[in-house]
Amino acid sequence: MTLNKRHLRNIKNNLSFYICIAILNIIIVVLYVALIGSYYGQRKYLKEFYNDTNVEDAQFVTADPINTADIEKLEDEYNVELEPQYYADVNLTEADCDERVGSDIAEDYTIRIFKPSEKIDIYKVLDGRDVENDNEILLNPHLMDARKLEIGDSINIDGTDYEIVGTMARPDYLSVYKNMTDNLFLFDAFGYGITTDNAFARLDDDQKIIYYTVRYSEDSKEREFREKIHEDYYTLSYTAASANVRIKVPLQETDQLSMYINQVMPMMIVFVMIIIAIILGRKIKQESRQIGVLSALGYSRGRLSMYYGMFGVIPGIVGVVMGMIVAVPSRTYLAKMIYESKTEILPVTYDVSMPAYVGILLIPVIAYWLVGVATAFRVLRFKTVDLLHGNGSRKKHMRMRMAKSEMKFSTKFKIRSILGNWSRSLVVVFGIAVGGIMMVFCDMCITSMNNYCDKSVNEVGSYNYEYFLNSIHTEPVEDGTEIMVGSFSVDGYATNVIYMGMDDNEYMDLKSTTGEKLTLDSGKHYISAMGAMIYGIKKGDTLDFYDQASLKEYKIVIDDIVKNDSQSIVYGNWKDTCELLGVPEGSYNAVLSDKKLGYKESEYMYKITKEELSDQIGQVVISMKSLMAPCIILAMIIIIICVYLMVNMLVSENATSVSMLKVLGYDNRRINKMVINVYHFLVPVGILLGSVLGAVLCKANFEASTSAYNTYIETVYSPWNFVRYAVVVIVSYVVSLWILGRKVKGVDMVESLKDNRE
Amino acid sequence: MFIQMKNGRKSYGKGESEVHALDGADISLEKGKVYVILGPSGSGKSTMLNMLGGLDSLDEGTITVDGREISGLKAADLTKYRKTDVGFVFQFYNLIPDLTVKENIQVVSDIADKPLDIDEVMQALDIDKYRDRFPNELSGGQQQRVAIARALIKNPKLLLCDELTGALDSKTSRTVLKFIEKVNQQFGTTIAIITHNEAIAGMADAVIKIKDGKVSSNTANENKLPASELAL
Repeated sequence: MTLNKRHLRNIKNNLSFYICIAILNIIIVVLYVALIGSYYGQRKYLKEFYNDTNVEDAQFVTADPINTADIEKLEDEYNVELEPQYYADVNLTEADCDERVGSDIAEDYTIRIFKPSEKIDIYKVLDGRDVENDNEILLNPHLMDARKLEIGDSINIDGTDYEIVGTMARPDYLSVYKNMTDNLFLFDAFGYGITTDNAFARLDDDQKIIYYTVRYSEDSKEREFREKIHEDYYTLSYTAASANVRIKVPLQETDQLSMYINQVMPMMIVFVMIIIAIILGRKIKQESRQIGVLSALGYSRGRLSMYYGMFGVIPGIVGVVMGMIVAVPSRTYLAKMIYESKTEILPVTYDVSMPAYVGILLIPVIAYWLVGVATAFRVLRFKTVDLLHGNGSRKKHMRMRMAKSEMKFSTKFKIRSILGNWSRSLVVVFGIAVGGIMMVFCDMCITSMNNYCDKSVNEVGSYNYEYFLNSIHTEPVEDGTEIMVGSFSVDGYATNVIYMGMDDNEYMDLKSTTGEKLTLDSGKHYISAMGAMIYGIKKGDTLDFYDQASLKEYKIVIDDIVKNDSQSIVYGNWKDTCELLGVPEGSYNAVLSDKKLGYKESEYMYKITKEELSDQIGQVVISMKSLMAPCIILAMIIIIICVYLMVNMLVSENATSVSMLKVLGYDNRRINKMVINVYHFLVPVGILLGSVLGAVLCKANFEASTSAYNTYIETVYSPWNFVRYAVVVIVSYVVSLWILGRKVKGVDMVESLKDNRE
Repeated sequence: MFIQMKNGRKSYGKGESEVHALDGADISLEKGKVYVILGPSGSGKSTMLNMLGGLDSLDEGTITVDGREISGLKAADLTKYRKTDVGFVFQFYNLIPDLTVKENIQVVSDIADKPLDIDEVMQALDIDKYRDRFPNELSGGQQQRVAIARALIKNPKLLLCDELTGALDSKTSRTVLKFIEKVNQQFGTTIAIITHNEAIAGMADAVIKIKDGKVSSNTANENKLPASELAL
């Protein structure tokens, strides 16, 4: 059809419009491909990985060891798989590595070296080859990456050089938390490795830790097995895989992403598609006189509709194709950005299934085609004569008369322009709001994390060292405070609650959420704010929990909520706790101190230092910032494009009025003030909407991901979150006005009047 | 002479497609008179209106209005000229759709130096009763009267009317022309009506014919008729 030649010319004449539409489509496709690819790729990989490596169902530590014969007996009797796991933490310094290590990397670091397991939590070589000789080691990829190590490099452990022959991962360490109670991790300060059995045997026995992993099947007698273990070997701790942060976090990450895929992404895509559809529709309506001419020339409704359908198809195709060109190579990078702050670096193929690719290719194109067809059909409802006279898109409704109003006519003009062109106005508000949701969300996440970083370290207590001992002690500690700690489960919740019994001490200045000082008198129980949020507990409620080791159940009444958003803890009196846990009065298994105490590494399960905690939190803020920065840029692009498109549309739709005002002697400044500045009213509405929705989404996100972060991050509102967003909107608005103000200058009086004569 | 164009030349396009819209046109208009400018399509009538109205600039030649040379004015001065000295009425009215009748006229009175009384002008053009209506709620003739009122409100020295009855039936055209006549008589405005319609020439003080960008004749009308008697 000769008429189709107009399409190319139309693109040439409206290049900025088509570029903007194409960019919005690119954003849709990139979002879609990156998120869908990330979700399905990671999910599939994890499922296969956990399956191939026989991930544990639980792990536990006993006071007495279980020998090999007993293990076989227990497996037969209770129909379980049971295997002891051995590791030793070796502390290294930069000098133990070669010179590739940069100066910005932590000086000291720990490698947890595992003895290869055979049945449960089997490691998988990801790169290079498996260990064959006793002077070879495999390391986890994050540690290699963070410390800039490469296959072929060597590290010195206890005087022996080990060549790094590859990278590997264990299913129970896909999130590399050093301690299960850690909130976050430092990839350069902690990692893990595998050596041969002989090499593991060479390590210092004092540093070796043993724990047991178990896998249940449908026929397993789980409860009886756990009771038997506690009875015969005294279970010190028991952690189900569902409560093990090293196993659950990678899965929660994908679950969280599925929330974005199912809720946030469709909303964003629909918003952007609506914006594009409205713009296209209005663009076609502007052609109503042309449609009238073609109709008068004998073009049928169907033919014209198909022709105008192409108006939408062209930017749709250009956008999705360009989107694919950007999305396909960048999807792995984006997916890695999403996952690798909390999950091991894994060789996942972040691909999208063919139907999903076809879907994203076709859905926008079909949607815009339908918009083109439907708009042309709507315009063609008018008589050809009316269309020829330019009456095809005149609105007889939705206009506020305000004829009797004393308001200045220029103000009335603006109000009518906003309300009479509601779809254009909606695009302005939504365009600003959609970008704003993303921007405020990301910005507020960073502010909240910063705030968390600043206060959470102090909220947990004023001690510098916290030791969790391997056994229960009764002898007094000279330079520390003794506490009795137990980890308990709450039915229906994956997150464990720590029960901490102690006397009032210098390290724990407990304050209620309302700021009152709380004392650990006998009979008093308090829960941390994070615990209260997770379990839905209020002051005066009863908390039911059970000992994961003995499965014994307990009930306590919560007297108050302690201000602590970082940990899920129940605080109680020391004596009461010993009684509750059935240990002699004065027993303790953890120590708080200002200074490093002389415990051997084999004497404690783990220690937490203030410095490490602070570093961990700081690290997560940095990684979150790197994740949020591209989102903020994306949001800014959406805002700028929407504002530019709308102001552009405003100018082109009002070209005749602008031209006439020029003829009447209005200068450009007056014309801008009257015609172009109508959105001054709407910009604050869009900013407000974006701010509110962004803040709500941020709060919902932190609440939903409490379990994934292993901490509750309070949403903090800083005026700067909104100011920054408002500045971006206002700057893009002003720049768009400035650019288009020049377009107003360029409106030719003679040409526009000629259009009218024709 | 109140308005004078000397050797006005204006070309559009380049090379083979170059069109000489005005090719040495000379025109003189006296104050307070009605002129009808006749010519076939492409003769240069509208270009002449654009030049006289300060919408465009001559490539060569001069235009003087009330002793002031406007052909060399800068864009800002031309804007001022259009704001104070000249009023336009177009074939398709060019009213602003989102403003009521009164507001369309106010658009000009707001920026004019010495505007006429808005009610007086609306009464003179018999559009007072439509003051709160929007343009699309009016007939073509009513809209054209609003356009005339809008052009007139600034009390211009020169009223330029481009095919002002081109979109109207003969009855409505006569009504509109009667108002034009009334404006000339009541306000003493110099009026130039550009048209194809030779019948309108009957109400002019002088008829100027344009052909191929040049003024082919400028004849005084000895038998001037009232607009009501025009055979439209």
